[in-house]
Amino acid sequence: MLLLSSDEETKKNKLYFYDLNLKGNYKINDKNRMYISWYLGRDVFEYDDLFGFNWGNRTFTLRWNHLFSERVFSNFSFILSDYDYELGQYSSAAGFKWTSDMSDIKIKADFTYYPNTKNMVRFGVNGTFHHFNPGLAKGTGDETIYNELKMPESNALEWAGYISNEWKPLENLTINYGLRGTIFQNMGKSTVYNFEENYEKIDSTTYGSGDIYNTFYGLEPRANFMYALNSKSSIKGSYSRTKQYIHLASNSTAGSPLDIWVPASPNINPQLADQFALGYFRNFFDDTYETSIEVYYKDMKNQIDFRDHAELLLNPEIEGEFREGNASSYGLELLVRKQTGDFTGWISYTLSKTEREFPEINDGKVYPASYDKPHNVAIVANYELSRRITVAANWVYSTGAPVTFPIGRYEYGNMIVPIYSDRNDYRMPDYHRLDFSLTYKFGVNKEKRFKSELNLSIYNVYNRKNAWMINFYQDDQDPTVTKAEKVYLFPILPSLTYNFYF
Amino acid sequence: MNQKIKIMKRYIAIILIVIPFIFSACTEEIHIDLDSTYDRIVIEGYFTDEYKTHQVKITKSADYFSNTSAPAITGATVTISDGTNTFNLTEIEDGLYETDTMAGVPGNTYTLNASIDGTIYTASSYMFTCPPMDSIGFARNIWDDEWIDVLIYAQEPGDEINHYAWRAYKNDTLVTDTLHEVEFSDDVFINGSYVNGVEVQYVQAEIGDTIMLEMHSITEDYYEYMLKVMLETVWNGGPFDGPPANFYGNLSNEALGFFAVYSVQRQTGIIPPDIPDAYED
Repeated sequence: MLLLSSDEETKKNKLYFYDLNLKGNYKINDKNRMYISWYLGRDVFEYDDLFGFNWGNRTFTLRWNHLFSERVFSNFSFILSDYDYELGQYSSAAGFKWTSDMSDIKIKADFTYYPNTKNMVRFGVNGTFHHFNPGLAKGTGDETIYNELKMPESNALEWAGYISNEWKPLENLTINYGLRGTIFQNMGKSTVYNFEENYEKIDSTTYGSGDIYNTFYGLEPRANFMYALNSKSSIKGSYSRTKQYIHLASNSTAGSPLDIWVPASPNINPQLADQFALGYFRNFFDDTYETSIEVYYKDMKNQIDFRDHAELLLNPEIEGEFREGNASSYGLELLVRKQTGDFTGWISYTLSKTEREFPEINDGKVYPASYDKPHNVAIVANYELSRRITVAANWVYSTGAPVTFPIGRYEYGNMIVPIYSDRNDYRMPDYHRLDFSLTYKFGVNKEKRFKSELNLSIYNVYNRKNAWMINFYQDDQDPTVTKAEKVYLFPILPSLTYNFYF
Repeated sequence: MNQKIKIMKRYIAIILIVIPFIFSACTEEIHIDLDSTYDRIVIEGYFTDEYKTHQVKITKSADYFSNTSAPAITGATVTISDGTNTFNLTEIEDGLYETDTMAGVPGNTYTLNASIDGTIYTASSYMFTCPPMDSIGFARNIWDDEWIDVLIYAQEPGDEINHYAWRAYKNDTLVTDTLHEVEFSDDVFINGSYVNGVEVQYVQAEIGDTIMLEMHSITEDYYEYMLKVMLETVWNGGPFDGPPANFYGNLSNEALGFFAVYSVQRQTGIIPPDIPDAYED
């Protein structure tokens, strides 16, 4: 738990988070094992009981591992997961609370079969029930002035079956090939809005609980190979096609992040991606250092993005705010890693480009995706000073995300109205940050059942004011003056954590 | 009900913007290099059924950080026509063009013509009839004690979808002279009903002040235009804003701005000593 309390005013601000993790396994006999795990995490921000927001997720997994024979292994799993966030203003009659959540119930069966020493066959089936609750706002308190405002909930069933074979025709060659088939079904109870070609709403259709009202199918082939040139170096290549039924739509306003999960539906097609990758891997100094160079190309169809001036806040007809188009991405990744010894760590560099082309956005011109960050560097270093003390540092750098900025202005109605650049034609300032941590372990010398460690870490050591969003505004004093300001979130932030293992 | 939802939606967005500010006051003015873009012609014209001179302001766009008043376009030839007669406008100061004293007639379509350096910019707009208000009332604003909600009592005609805008005068002075102070709405939620005390304007005023409420019957295009101006200015900044983009009004040749035509109704009231709080029975 972390409290920010530098002065009286900020003492009212509360920021804390917690993670709980429980794991257990039980060996029934030589052929059967049960695994259970449970995770709970939540981040909370509150301001003086006036308002706040919090978000968290929970996962529960129950897995049964069964050996049918020496050659057939299986896992049967039952998984529950959910993600939610809440935001609210809690005072008196004007108080309200807004909640949103997404939950999944999944069952799956996975099998591994070894027909001979050269082949390993994997196959399985799974089914997921998705529930989406994009947003509900309601007043709090007995004398609330608000009506309840709700975006339509929806459900979906997702089925998948797959089979793949890992084939080792030669001592130094492994080839893996497979096929996955998927079915996605929208299921009531839900209200679906119907739109004209120009995205004007015509009417809506309401489906009863359990009604399947829309079905998509997908076939996803995939293949990869690994060829060892010698004991130190190898080449890997892969191709995969994926069909994804849930979109993550990112808002690309001047850097203020908002991600909305959007299921495929009668109004929104599932996304389709073909990816090719090729890499060369080489180890040095008796495998102390691993290095690699990889290139990839990804072609994406049926992507979604927000139209100009899209209304995103509690808009029940949000499906009408999306436009469909295509995207492509390519890149080069370099990695050097040291895995053994007192000093470990890695350096990675990625050069990439992701572009989108939508007929109805940006006059049909190609524009960078809002997550396009051409240069990406990560340096991670760990040094074990003694058995008790470890120090670690990491530094990250990335090009600023693309944003749309004003390039001109005009006056109308005594106001200054901006004239914008093309979509995502500018960039946020580059992001970089250094973190440091020191960990002290207790009980390393004893055969203790309980072990613990104390961790001192400093986030953003050199206090870089990384821009979270940039606002342009008209000056209060002199209305002819326009200014830009950046909002940044986390300054240098030391924290102390005590971890306890049992 | 519509109004309540609007207030609530806005309030959520404000919180999202405010959070990083109060978090530990993490804002800082920054310098950003922005490119220049070509100049656009901007026309802001109004023509109503009031008997007065009607004005058209012509300026051009500038760099975002230009920090001076918009440059005026002088020497333009500007006319307004009702299809039969054409009225000439006179340039009374740089970039400001004015008709003679006259009144538009609801039911007519008016066309603005501005000839600037050989290019002609035009816009046409229909003048809707504004339904009369029976009276206005007052209530104390729930968010801020110093503000008074101005309420209207009127029969909304149910024949078609109408759009309205409201301005307020305090003791004969227009207090809502900036577009973001103008309130506007469609009649989707009240079409054909009797509007029984719905707040449509907000004034910072005291007991005894004389308030005049002005109601305009605007076109749907103008309603949409004002909405877009708001979205790109004072409502801009939260994570729930869609991607920003440029937009046009009703002028040809990619001129920015709008030629707004509407008819006007007025009601006056004096703020009484016993103002009820909003939403109280």
